[in-house]
Amino acid sequence: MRAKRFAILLALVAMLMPAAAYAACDGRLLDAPEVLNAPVCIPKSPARIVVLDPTFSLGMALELDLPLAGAPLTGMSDTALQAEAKGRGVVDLGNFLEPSIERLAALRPDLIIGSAMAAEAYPLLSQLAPTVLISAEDWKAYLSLIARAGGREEKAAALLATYDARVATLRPRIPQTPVSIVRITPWDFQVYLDGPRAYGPFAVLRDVGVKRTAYETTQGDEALKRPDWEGLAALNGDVLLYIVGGANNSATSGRHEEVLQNPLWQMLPAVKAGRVHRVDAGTWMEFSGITSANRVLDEVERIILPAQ
Amino acid sequence: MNSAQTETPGPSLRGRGRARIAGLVLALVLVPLAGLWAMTVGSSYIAPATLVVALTQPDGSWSHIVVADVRLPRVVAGLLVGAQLAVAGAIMQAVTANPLASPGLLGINAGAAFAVVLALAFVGIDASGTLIWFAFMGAAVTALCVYMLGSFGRGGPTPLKLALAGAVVSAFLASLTASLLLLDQGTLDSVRLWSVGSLNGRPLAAVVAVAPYGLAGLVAALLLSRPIMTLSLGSDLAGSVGQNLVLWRLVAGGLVILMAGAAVALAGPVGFVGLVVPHAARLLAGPDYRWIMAYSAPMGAVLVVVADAGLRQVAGIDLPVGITMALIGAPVFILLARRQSWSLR
Repeated sequence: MRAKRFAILLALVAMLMPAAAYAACDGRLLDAPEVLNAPVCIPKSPARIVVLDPTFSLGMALELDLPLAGAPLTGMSDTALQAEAKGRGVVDLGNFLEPSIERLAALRPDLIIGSAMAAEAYPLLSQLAPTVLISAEDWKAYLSLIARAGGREEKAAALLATYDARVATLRPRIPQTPVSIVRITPWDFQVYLDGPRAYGPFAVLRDVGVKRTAYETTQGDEALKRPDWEGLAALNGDVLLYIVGGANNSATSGRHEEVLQNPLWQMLPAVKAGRVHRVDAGTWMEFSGITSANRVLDEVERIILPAQ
Repeated sequence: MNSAQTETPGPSLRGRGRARIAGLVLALVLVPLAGLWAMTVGSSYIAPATLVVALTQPDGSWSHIVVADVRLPRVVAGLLVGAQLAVAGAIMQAVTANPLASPGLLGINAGAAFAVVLALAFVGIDASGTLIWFAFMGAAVTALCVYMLGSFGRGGPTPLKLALAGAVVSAFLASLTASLLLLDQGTLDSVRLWSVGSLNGRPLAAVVAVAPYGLAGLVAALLLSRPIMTLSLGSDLAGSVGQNLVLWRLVAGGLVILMAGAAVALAGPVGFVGLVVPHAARLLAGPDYRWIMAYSAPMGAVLVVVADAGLRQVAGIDLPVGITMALIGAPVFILLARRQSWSLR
């Protein structure tokens, strides 16, 4: 009987919790479906932000000029972004797979921002500072949410408007010949698809109207395919971009050469025609916002425009 | 079975002998059939006629290269791995008189995994052609260590001491492997796929390089099946017929290392083959280990190749064969265990 009463009490408390958050918050409430455990009470103008990943969160926070105190900077492939973060006095929290909680706590952040991949650490992080974990996959939605968390909505809108303008001028000039893109990892091939859930760089290609092959295009939820050696033949675009290295050692282990020397690779139409280009793993696999998007557009101008 | 019957084979037993030979011939015929069928399975369609031409008169066209460089190595690796693991399992069960013994008991899988992780983490090698030698060496060195450790004390390498040594060394290496993986996240990604056992993406050169060791082990095992069978009778009986127990246990251990080491080098650890196939062979061929080993080779080869290609054919999913084998092997093993009495000596 007593236990039951206690359970009812707990349920009541649980129901009142969000209301309590509204009532107790003396900053701002960030409420969005793509923010974990929303609404989250965050400071009106955060002054010491820590981000948990060196990709979306780090790049976008720097682009929005947020007061960034710390970020995991070890093991990044995007060395330009890494250098910029260090130049701005961002403290390294170690590897992004295992950021040092101690160093994070020592920075005394007033806001923690990361992707939903850090959801497991939420109970711990939220004791240190208000924690905004974003589950948005679309990079522009992610940028908007970081801007809302940091109070820089106008800056984000301006950045996106500049991006949209560049895309709009480039779009009519894009050839309609299909382009193939593959990532060579030490153990397989990965094809990031053009579709509603396309990952950052591939969403930029979608925005600008770069056509991919039928195999690389989807209308569904799929974002990634893993062709085997015989499936590689489906990458029959006129131009082939490939990503090698980065977070894995496929560029240095001999795998890169192994693939390029394989007759099945050399038989791909783009390879035969000499229209095969290696692109930077930092930009294409550790996409981090407007700067990365512009780098992708640079590659489009450099490689895909002249190919028509 | 009483002793009078074994000494003077009656007509029923002679009939059984004929049936055993017929069964073996059938199993051997199934091997090339299964291999050819598996060659038709892949992510693209290649007509069976093209398949034959690609193997006999390759002209360097795309489909011929796919057959020769992608599908053939996978099928050959599957046949070899299956036959080797099954025969190695049969030897292990014969020598240790333990129906639950499998090649993994000698620490072969743990040793191969440890060597591969060492190579990935410290040498930075992960081109598939080089990794196999690390796996092979790791398997061989570990099995030798287990053997030596199990040979200390009175009575030399008894089955019980070998099993204990194998368990200890395996656990030790597994913990070292785990700690290396914790320190090096990048290696973890590469090892994750290796550690389940897969036949995908093995270059033909790698298969050709490892095949002689495994084949030599297979041939030697079948030639030496008589003394190995004698070992299976137990140390008292084998000793009383004048067998040099220490020598033949060493030979049997060497054969297991050769075959299972070559298999783990090619495919990573593939479980259940070495456990289930000898049991199935015993159901079909009776308790004589000469026949069990002869049956195990083709049955293991067919099982692995059909398991690897079957799932891709039926469901279109390319699962690593180590997982497929666990999915098939576990229920089959339970079935066999329930049907068979455990009194094997």
